[in-house]
Amino acid sequence: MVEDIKAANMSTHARKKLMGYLFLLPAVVSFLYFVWYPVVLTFIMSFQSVNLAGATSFVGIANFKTLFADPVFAKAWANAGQFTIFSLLIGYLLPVVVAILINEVRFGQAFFRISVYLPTVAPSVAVSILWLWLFDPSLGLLNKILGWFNLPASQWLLSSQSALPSLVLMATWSGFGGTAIIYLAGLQGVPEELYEAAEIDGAGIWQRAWNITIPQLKPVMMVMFIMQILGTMQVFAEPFIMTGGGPNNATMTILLLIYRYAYTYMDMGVASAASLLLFIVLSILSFIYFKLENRAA
Amino acid sequence: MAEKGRALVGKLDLKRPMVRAGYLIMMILLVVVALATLFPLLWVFISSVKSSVEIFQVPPSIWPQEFNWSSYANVWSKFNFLHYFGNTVVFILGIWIIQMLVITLAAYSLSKLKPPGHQLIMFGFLAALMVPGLAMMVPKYVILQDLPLFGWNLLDSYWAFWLPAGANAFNILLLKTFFDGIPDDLIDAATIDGATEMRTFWQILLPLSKPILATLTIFIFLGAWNNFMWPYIVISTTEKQPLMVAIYDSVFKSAVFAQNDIMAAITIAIIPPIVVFFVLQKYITQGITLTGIKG
Repeated sequence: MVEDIKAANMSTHARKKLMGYLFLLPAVVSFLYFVWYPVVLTFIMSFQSVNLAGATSFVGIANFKTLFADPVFAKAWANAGQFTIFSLLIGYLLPVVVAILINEVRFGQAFFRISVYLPTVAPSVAVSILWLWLFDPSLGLLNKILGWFNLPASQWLLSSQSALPSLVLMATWSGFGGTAIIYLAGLQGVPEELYEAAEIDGAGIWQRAWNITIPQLKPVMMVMFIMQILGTMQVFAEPFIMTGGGPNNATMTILLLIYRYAYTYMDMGVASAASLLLFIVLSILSFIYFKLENRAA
Repeated sequence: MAEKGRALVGKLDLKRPMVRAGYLIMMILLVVVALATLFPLLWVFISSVKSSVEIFQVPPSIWPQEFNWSSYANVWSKFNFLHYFGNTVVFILGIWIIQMLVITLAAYSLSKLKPPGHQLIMFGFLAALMVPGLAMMVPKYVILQDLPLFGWNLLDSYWAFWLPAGANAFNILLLKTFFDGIPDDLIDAATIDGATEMRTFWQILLPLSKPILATLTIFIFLGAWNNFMWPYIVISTTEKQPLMVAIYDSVFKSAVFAQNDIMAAITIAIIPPIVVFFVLQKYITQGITLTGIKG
């Protein structure tokens, strides 16, 4: 009898193990095919000459040489750096401030929450076409608004000086609300009693902000810092639709250049080499992100 | 008793005129930010109902002289919205079905069945979070062109999106975390009662996970509806394009449509995600709170 139960347990156990693997199988296969193999393939193709028909030959570091000899490649990285700095300057603290303000609103909080989040759900195609229209120097809304304040009209996307900052403005508009909502979620976890107690102890508003609100946001702020850099380094659809990387490569991004090498110049090898370099940089950043997130959790 | 709904600024603070003035200024600033965020979206609609003359007025008028709906009729008659809408529905449904199936099973196994070596597999999934999606477009394209071991060419087919749909490390992690919160006793009790793993999964685990599945569904819907770059690269036949790609290719880039027509098309394309957002807000907020990530 005891033996029977033991045998039954054994078979249940074995079946549980078998089912465990079986249920993991589709996911493992998906990852092998569409995450891990692409990484390996990027590495291999970086050292190959590949045409679209799939014929390959080993070319050593020739692809990397081509890349480094291309001034547009350097320009794309410089743009990525500039894009990152601009978007951190304009967009890093904005969501923090907006979240704190929304949290202070006594009624109609939902209205503000919804308003700032809405651009996040709008498709990038729609956002790009809309902003192309807003940026239009003569027909666009933005120059009209500048006119109200007696400010000189801007060429926005049409001049190589203002094109990149213009894209940053648009990216900030479409992204800050989503980030603000994340901060807001953190702020709403602070119990009212905590502020009350600090107030009774004689802490002023600034002291409370500094000692209660900011520490609550700090871990998320660190994570968002990296997230924002990761995001700006992968800008693609917006310049693709709006500027094609111009004028004069002022809005050329790394992904746009990879796309151009792969599908315009039909050179998958050089495109892979550029992907590999981007992948390495992004992995390092993601790694830092995970370290920070683990500390935040 | 703490004052309900208070945060930094309390009732007592607001009795001081300086604080009250500062608070008022801050609130006005917030209203300005909210309007600056909403107005561009409204501008799409305003532009769409301007006449084909008024739309080219310099400088632009803030409000249309009269509402002119002809752009909607025009774009609806020359661009087959329903066809491309249908494409997007099929596109999203396939992604949803396959991703849900793959990730719920995987998360169940990782959280409850825990076969030997599951930590290693989990690590493999987690490390995938470091692999940026579109940066891998070239090798992915090559793989889709000639799927290793099968030899299938998945380019220009929705299978290029459906098959990889399950490789979503973030969503697996999210589900696993949720499943971890469901007591093991519940699962063990079912097993003792003789339920198979599959039955426990369908009849106990999934019904308990409805809120998180709803959140995932919304994120999958929004992501797939808004997706542009990768479908644009992979799908080459015009008739097969999802709505966003078609709007770019056949409305925005076409010479047939005037600016007000284009804005009408965009208004129509923006409505579904906004409606979904309004109706299912609760689940989106919950997703953000659970994950700390927006969509």
